Amino acid sequence: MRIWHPLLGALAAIACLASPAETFGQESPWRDGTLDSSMIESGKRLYLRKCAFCHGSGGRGDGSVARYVFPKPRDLSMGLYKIHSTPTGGLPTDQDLFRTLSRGLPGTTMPSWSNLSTMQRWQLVAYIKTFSDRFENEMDLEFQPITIGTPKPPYPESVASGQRLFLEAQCWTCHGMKGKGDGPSSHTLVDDWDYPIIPADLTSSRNWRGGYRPEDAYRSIAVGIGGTPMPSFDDALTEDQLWDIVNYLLWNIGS
Amino acid sequence: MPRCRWIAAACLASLAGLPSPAHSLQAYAPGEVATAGTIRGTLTFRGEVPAAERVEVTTDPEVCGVEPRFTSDLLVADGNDGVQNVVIWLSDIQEGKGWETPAEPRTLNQKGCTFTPHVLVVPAGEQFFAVNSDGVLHNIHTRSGENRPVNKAQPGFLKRLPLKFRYPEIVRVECDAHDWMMAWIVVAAHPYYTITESDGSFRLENVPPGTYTMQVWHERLGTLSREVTVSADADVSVNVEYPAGQ
Ligand code: HEC
Ligand code: HEC
Ligand SMILES: [Cu+2]
Repeated sequence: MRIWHPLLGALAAIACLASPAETFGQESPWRDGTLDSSMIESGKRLYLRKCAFCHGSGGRGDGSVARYVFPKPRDLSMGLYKIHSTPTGGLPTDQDLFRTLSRGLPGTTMPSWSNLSTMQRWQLVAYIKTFSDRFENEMDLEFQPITIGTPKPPYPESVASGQRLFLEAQCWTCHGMKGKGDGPSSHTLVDDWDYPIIPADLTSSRNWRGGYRPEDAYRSIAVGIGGTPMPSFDDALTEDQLWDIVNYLLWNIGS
Repeated sequence: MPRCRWIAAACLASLAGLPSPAHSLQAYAPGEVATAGTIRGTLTFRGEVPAAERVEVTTDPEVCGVEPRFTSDLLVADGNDGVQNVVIWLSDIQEGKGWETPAEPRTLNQKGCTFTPHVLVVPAGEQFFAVNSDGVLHNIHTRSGENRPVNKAQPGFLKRLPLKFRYPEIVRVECDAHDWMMAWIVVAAHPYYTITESDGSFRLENVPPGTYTMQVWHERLGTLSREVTVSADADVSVNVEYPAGQ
């Protein structure tokens, strides 16, 4: 039996209220791997209406408003994504893309598309995958999503261990001792699209691109944020240690 | 520091005339080399060498040093204008020697917040290690064309981090924690690759007789190629000069 921290329960309830659409675990309509061309066609029509002014009609991140936007809309033709549940350098799964469209990318102009129907979002996923041939070329077993177990309860020992690990693994080099995003290396960071980038403010989890549920934080630390200096820690830390850091972030530094 | 990013690195790789993965995987057959010659030579550059760039150290000064660093991506020897860290390989060789098993595993060392060597040759598909001799966090962040990019943290307590690249190409490696740290990993399809010494000299040994395309690549000066004919039990000398004014 798990002893439920009362605060955890309360916060979890708030989190559920705040995002009723956190039920993204659905399977894509093309489970058996065949992408229906009519889905792609419908996705294209939607894309041109909803997305092209930011991401460009060819997906190159060069829509008409792109130059007023920072960070820049993603160049979808490079096949390089921030949010993926596969190991470092991997592509997002269909579920990852669906979830990104549904949630948006907090802290950026990329909005949530949860006002579109589930089917419409899947159509968009089908279409944006056609921008990069990485999706076709790299379907191999090595790059299956990582397994994310059950979050560890945020007992004080776990949070304290997370704090120690935050120091030892030197998260502070980029994120700063207090997690504000102002560590000694924070001024020199550049992303793979050649723009300066600042480390996330770890005290405001609502602005994390990939979500603030414990599972999301676990994924971001384990596999990193694609195309950015945020590295993957799954070679360096054990599953237990990763959950401890998650607990430190969500129950100390960020609360 | 000017950076060549992912796409640029991909272009570099294609400029360098690297074979496409599909065809390189089947192209080379290692075996006994009965008769062989040696290619030797020197790479030179007589153009203007830009001054080294000054970098202030703000991260981990107790390990990286407090003094400003001077980094340069073009090292030219005083006496003979020889260029160091030029990659030289035979791009169209089909048969020849197998890889020697090194006494120590191949490693990319991070020591004093510098990658050593600056250019490392590793066989495609073979595991090698990033070694952290510093006890502070580094991260291995790569740009590549054919291979997937990786960005792996290597905190001070993680001494050895296994790495592997499948497809032959030249991969750029950076550490985000220390802006100035940069290296190249030459993922090699066969053992006929070498890197020039500090005086620009190089040798490729045990080459079966034949005519080959010798590729020359330098991170700043770019790609050149030469045709080279090797005959049995002889040395062939190939001196290459990078054109000045680029
Ligand atoms: C107002 C501008 C804007 C619009 C409209 C927009 N996006 Fe984005 N999108 C962005 C920005 C900005 C980013 C990159 C944010 C970042 O780098 O953190 C992005 C990133 C993305 C990503 C990459 C996610 C990742 O993991 O890297 C995808 C996929 C995406 N958008 C799809 C879409 C689709 C599909 C639509 C239309 C339904 C759309 N976007 C509409 C601005 C926009
Ligand atoms: C080399 C610098 C660097 C190091 C070291 C680093 N981070 Fe990050 N981190 C970043 C950057 C940059 C971002 C912002 C990425 C973006 O804006 O898309 C980030 C983002 C994040 C995020 C937000 C993810 C999201 O969904 O947006 C979390 C959580 C995080 N880091 C945790 C950690 C933890 C925990 C550690 C140590 C175990 C760590 N980071 C080490 C650079 C770093
Ligand atoms: Cu470093």
